[in-house]
Amino acid sequence: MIKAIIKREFLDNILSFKFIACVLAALIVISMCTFVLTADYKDRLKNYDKGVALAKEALSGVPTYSCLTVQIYKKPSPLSIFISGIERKAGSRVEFTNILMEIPTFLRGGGTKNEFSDMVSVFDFSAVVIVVFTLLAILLSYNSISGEKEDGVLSLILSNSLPRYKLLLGKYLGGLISIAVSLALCFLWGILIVVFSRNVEVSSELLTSMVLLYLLSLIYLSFILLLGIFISSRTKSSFISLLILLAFYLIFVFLIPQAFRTYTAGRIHEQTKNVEKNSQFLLDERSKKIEATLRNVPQTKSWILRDQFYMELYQGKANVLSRINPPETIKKQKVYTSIRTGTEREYAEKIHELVDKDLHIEYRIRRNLNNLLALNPPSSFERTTELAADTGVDSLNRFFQQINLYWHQYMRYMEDKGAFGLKYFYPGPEELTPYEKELIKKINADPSWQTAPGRTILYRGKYLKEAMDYKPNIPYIDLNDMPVFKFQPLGLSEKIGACFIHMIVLIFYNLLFLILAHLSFNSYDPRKRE
Amino acid sequence: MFKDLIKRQLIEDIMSLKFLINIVLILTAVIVFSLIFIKNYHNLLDAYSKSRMNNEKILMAFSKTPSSNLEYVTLYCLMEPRTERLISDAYEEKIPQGFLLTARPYLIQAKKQAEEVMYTQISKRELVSSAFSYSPDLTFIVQFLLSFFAIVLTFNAVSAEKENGTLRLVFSNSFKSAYFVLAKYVSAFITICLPLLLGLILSLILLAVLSVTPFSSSLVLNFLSFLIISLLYLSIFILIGILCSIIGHSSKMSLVLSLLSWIFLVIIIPRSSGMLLSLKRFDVPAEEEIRELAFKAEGATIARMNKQMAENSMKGFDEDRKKEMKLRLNYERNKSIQDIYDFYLRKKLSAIKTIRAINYVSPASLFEFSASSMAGTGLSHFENLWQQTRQFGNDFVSFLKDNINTLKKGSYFYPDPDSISNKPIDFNAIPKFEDKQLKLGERMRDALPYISLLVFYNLFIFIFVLYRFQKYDVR
Repeated sequence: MIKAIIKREFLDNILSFKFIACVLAALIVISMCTFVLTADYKDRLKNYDKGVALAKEALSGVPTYSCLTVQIYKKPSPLSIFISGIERKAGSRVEFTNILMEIPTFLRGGGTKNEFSDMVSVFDFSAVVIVVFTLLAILLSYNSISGEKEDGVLSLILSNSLPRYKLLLGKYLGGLISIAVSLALCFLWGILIVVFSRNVEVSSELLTSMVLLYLLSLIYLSFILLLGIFISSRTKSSFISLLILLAFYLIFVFLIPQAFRTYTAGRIHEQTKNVEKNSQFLLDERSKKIEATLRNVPQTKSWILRDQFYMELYQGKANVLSRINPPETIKKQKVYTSIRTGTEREYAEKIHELVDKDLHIEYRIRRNLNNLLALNPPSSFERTTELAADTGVDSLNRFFQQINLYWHQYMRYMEDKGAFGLKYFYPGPEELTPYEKELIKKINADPSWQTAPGRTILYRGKYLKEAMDYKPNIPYIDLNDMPVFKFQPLGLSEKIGACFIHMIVLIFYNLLFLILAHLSFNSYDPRKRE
Repeated sequence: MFKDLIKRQLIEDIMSLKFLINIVLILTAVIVFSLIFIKNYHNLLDAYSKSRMNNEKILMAFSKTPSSNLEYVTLYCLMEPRTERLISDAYEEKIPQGFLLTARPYLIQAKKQAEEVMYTQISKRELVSSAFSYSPDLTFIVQFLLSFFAIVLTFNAVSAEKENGTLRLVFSNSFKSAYFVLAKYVSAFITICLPLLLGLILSLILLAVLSVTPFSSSLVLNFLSFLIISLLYLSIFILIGILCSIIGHSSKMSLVLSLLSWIFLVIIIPRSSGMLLSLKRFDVPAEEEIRELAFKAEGATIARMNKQMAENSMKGFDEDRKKEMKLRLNYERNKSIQDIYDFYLRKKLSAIKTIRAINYVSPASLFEFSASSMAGTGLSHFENLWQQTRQFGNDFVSFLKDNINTLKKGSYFYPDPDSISNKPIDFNAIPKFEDKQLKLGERMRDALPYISLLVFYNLFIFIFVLYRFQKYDVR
């Protein structure tokens, strides 16, 4: 008997105008957004590949450690086609250099190029589920009990020997199956579009994540169905139950999340002022400290020559000396380098601490918001999909945590290699060739620089041209054994773990409303008229 | 008879549960949104006054020794946070917050976030803006909640009467059938008016009591114009509801029809056009690339100017003439940079505007645009600010020219430490930047295209409704 009810309900549903119209609407929107987001993803992937290749190439021709710039690109996740999250806006790479040390806390480049793009928004899968499928579930369930009563069918059915819970279950399962089928259709359609657009690799990981997203969507929609059935069994006319459900739709899907988000954004803005207030202060302190320490270095009279070619190549963002330099200058540069890099490193960590403090406050406020919104099923669902797809803020946070660890690892490697000593500014081996020795001797003997006051001056004497024209083959620094950063994306089990709580809440809601609907339907009187 | 029809309908509407739910919902939303707005508004005002104080400090130092302090003149011309943002926020927080005017080199650049403008380092992780991110303002309440209410109010205006059998009765009367539809329309209109009016008055009172700005007549005028635009917009949805109830012969059918058209017009069309931004034709270079392009353009200009100078050799020139040539070189190279910045800013703006033009099919978007143009917020605020900043820049330069110019009279002027003297100037005489709102007439002119489209939709659907109803088969 229950099978017959499910079958009747299912056929009733899928042949109705509302069902066909909603599913068509969902398919149209999904086609549009998947198409655009796939193109967008391909674009980002292309940039990523190009960037990684360029970053690798840049590592192969570094004359001194001060020229070293490490660029790390964040690989775009193919799941961002379906759950766009923060990925499209956050940027594409982090960068650290030895000349100005800082621990990266934000992504550069590759984000939104148009600053006005936030004025227009983009639909994705979770948006379609929340906007279109929630409405479909409401439309399928709002008259499940009260509608039958109005048609007079309910009295007929109840006069059978069928227990009421079976009827309820039949209605629920019939609705759930019709939603499951249409949702599967939409998911398959989306995946097909991705498969047929070339250059996007559809991995098994992507597919399992999609299955997870599908299940999550189904759990959420099942809750809406149960809510609909419950409301419908509490009201006498189907019109009132529809009205209540639509009010629910407006309030819980649109009003509450946005009001909370705006409030939270204001709070974050208000409370995270550590960086704003203090980082400039720290930067000033840093430069003062460096200056003060440098002033204490005893001044000797000597001359200096920089490598014009590399200085220009790195646009002045590096410190490369010519191989023609007297030992006094090199000694002094060594002292300078150790002071500068030591202080910069210290302050990089201090500033990062400051940023971290702000981020912790932000994280706490955001967590509170998420915990609160977890009680609101549509927001909870949205958050769950973001966690399951791992394209949201959490993924970015994890990325920066790993980057922080990597930065320290990188610094240790640099120290092991003696990067902050001679090799920081002096290209090639320490021993001088006979020609170099002779040239240095010649310049030392040149009286043009000796008339200057007792400090290091830029050499401009008669041997300048000879020194400039001297371009030996400098061996580049071997960076092959440098630790490589590898971002660990979440595995399937970790993803499930991340969204476990939200899932539990949704399942709890399901059970709660199943029981409520059951209780309320048990005491339902099909005879009462309005 | 017509009056009776309206009266009957009005009583039916106002006594209904849906009206009660609606009015509670609207008033709650208005209170919550107003309170959130006022709280955030104080923060915004703080940041804004901080930046103004910073500007004054810079100009104060400049007024004492103009020539040596010229290179420290970096002024932020920010959008003033206004109470009009409660009416329509129009994503004002998410677009560039203002311009940075530097005197040496003389450049005007758009700056993205308020923090970026004032501080060196920020965390760039903002809240994710999903398809549902709206600014909680009155526009949202009307655009979303009240339009939805309009649909709910009228979706079964005709079909329910048919189902109840009352429609036959009505038709058997001798009056014109158009009156029937008209009565439905008018009474729904009045029913919608009530919560809207109450909500607007409530938010005005909250604003007056809790806000720091004094209660001004212009604010009331803004609320009034917002009321008129809202009514125009809501009238469309009332008509769409009636149309759906005529087209779908049963109430169920007309319900589905009207809900779907609401979803498409209010959510899907306005919310999904952003996808088009990833099309090739709207592509713009990233910020770093633009800077590089500007750098290249500057190099090209310098090369060109140097060549020119070499050709008409400067040997015969006196000191003043040489100075003038140098200024001209500076002017040309900075202008080439400025041109690149302006070109791409204009391109970005036009991309957004083109995409928004697609949304003209949706009355919800039209309403949003007309409300923001009327309130002078969002994009129109930004464009106005751009113009004002350029005007301010010109004023500032001509002030320098008129007061502390060290060049010969009548010769070419450009801000440079060489071209101005170190003589102290009166701080009060220096032009200061102030973000002034557009005049009501100008704002009206901006909003006129949108409003006329709204009126056109109204007329079009109204005529269509009448036409369909004439052919309506009661049986």
